[in-house]
Amino acid sequence: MRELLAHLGGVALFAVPGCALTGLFPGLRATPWLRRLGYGHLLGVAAVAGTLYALSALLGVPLRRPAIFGTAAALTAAGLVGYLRAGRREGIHRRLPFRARLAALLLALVGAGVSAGLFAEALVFPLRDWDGRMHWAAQARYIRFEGSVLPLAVVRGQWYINHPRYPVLLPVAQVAVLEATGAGEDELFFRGLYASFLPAFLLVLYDGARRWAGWLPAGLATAAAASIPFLTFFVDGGAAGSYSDLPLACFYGAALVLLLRGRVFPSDGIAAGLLLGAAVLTKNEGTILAGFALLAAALGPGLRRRKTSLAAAAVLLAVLAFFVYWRLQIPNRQDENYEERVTVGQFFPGALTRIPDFGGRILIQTFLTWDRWLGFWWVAPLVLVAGRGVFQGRRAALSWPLLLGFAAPLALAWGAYTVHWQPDGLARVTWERFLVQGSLPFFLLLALALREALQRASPGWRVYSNRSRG
Amino acid sequence: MRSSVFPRLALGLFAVFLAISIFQAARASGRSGLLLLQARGETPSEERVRAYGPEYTRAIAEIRRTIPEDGAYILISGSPEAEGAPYWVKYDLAPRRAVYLGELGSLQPVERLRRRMPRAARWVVIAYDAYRPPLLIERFRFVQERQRRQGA
Repeated sequence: MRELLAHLGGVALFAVPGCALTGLFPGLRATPWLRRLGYGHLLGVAAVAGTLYALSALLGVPLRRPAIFGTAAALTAAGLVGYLRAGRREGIHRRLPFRARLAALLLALVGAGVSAGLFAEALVFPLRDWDGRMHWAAQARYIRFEGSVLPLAVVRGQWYINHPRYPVLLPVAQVAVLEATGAGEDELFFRGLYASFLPAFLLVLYDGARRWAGWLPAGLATAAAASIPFLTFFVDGGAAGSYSDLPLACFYGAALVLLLRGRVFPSDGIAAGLLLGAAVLTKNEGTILAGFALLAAALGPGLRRRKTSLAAAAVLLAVLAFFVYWRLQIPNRQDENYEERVTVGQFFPGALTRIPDFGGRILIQTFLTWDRWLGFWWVAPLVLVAGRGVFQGRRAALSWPLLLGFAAPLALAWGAYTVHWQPDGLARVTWERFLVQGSLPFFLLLALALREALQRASPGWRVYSNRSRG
Repeated sequence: MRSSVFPRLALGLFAVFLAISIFQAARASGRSGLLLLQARGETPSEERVRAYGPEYTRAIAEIRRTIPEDGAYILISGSPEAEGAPYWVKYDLAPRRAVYLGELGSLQPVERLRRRMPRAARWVVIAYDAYRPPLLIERFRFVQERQRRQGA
C-alpha cells in the first residue's frame, strides 16, 4: 500500500501544480477538465522539475524536500490565483448524442485500461530497460546523492558517465519524486511518473483530434495510440520503461497542439514555450524539435497565432540560454560529438549517398517489427492516402504543419545517420524512438485522414466536431 | 463522384488493426494486473531477485556494503560491452563513482592501466553479462594478477 501511495504521490507532485498552472492560461482554462489534465500534468513536470533544475544550477539550492515542496506549493498557489482572478466561466460544451457518448466511453476505457496496466507494471518490476539504466536513472542517483544537477561524478571528467552532457530534466523529476517520498535505494517510486506520460499523451491527442476531426476519428486515433506496444508496454522506448522519448513526444506534441489551436491567446504561447523548454531540457533532440514546432506554427495563418509563437519563442530562448550555461560546466568524454561531425562537407553528398547504409534498416524497423507496432505502419499510410483530401482546401493549413511536426524527428534521424560512423547500428536502436518523438502530430494527422475517409466511405456520416472551441 | 471503395478498404484494414491491437493491449494489461496480485507484499529486494536473479542481487548488495556511497571503483567488463553488463552494474552501484577501463579481454598493459586508476578507487568490479554476479577484487590484487599474467 505504501508503494502504491508513493507512486501516486509521485505523479501528484507534478499533476497538482500543473493543473493549477493551467489557470494562468485562458486557452487552457477553457479546455474541458479531463483533457486539461493532460496539459496540466505535462506543464507540472515542465514547471516543477524545470524550476528545480534552474534553482540547483544557478543558485546551488539543494534538491531536497524544502525546495521540492516549496516549488510545488508556490506554483500551485500562482496557478490558483489565475483561476480566482479569471472567475467562473463556462466553456461552450456541445453534448454528443447517446451512441456517440457510449462509443467514446468504450474507447476511453481502452486508454484507461492500458494506463492502469502500465501503472501495475511500474509497481511490479524494477528497471529493465537499456537507456534508463545506462543513463537516465543512473544520472538521477548521482544527482540525488549530492542534491545538485552538477554532481562531482558529472563535472569531473575522470568519472565514467555515458552521456554527461545530456539534459537532465527527467532525472531531476525522478529525484524530486524519490526525495518527496523518502524512497530507499531500490524503491523506484518514479516509475509511476513515467507510466503517467501515456495517459497525458492520450488526453492531449484526444483534445487536438476532437477539436479538428470530431469525436469518432479522435477516439479511433487515441485507441490506436493506446494499444501500440512500442508506445506502451515495450520497455525500451515505451511508457513501461524510463526512456525520455515518450516524455519528449508529449512536450513537443502538446506545444504543437497549443500553437496550432484555432482560438489561441498570446499568453497561451507562454504555456507552449514552457512545454518546448521542457523538450529542450529532456533530450538533445528537443532543441531542434522546438525550432521545428515554431516553424510549423508560423506556417499557420493569423496575426494572433504569430503573437502566440513569439511569446513561446521568448520563453524558449531563456531556457536555451540556461541549458547552454549548465552544459558548459560539464566536460564531454563519452558523447557522440555531433557538433563537430555535422559539417557541410560531411553532410553533402552523404545525406544521399549514405542512404543505402541505413535505409534498409529503417524499412525493417518500421515495417517488419510486428511485435512492437502490430502492422501499424502498413495500415496508417493507407488511411492517409484514403483521406488525402486533408492536404487540400481549408484543412491544409493544419495538415501541412502537422506533417512537418511528424517529419521533423525523422529528418533529425536522417541527419544523425548520415554523419554517424555506424549508421546501421544506430538506426537499429534509435529509429523507432524517432517515430515515437513525432507520433503525436502523426496521430492527429491520422485522425484528420480518418474523418475524411469516413466521410468518403459513408457520405451520410455526420461529424460531431467541437469547432466552437477551436 | 469519387469512388468509396479505397476508403472503405483502408478503414476496414484499420478496424482489423485496431481489433488486434486492443486485444493485445488488454492481454498485456491483464497480465500486469495479475502479476501485481501475485507480487503484492514483495520488498524491493525480492523484486530485484525476481527480475535479475538471486546471485546477481546478492553480489550487488555485497559490493554496496563494501564500497561506501561516496567511494569510487574501477569498472571492467568481463563480457562484450555491447551486452550491457557494465551499464547495469554502474547503475546498481551509483552514486559510487566509476572509472571504466574497458573489456577484460582487451585491457592495456599494467603500467598504462595504473596511470588510469585514480587513488580514490581501491576496488575493481568486473561485470558479466546475463546477470552473472559481478566480481569484487581489491585493486592491488587485481594489479598483481595482471602483472603475473603479463610476465607469463
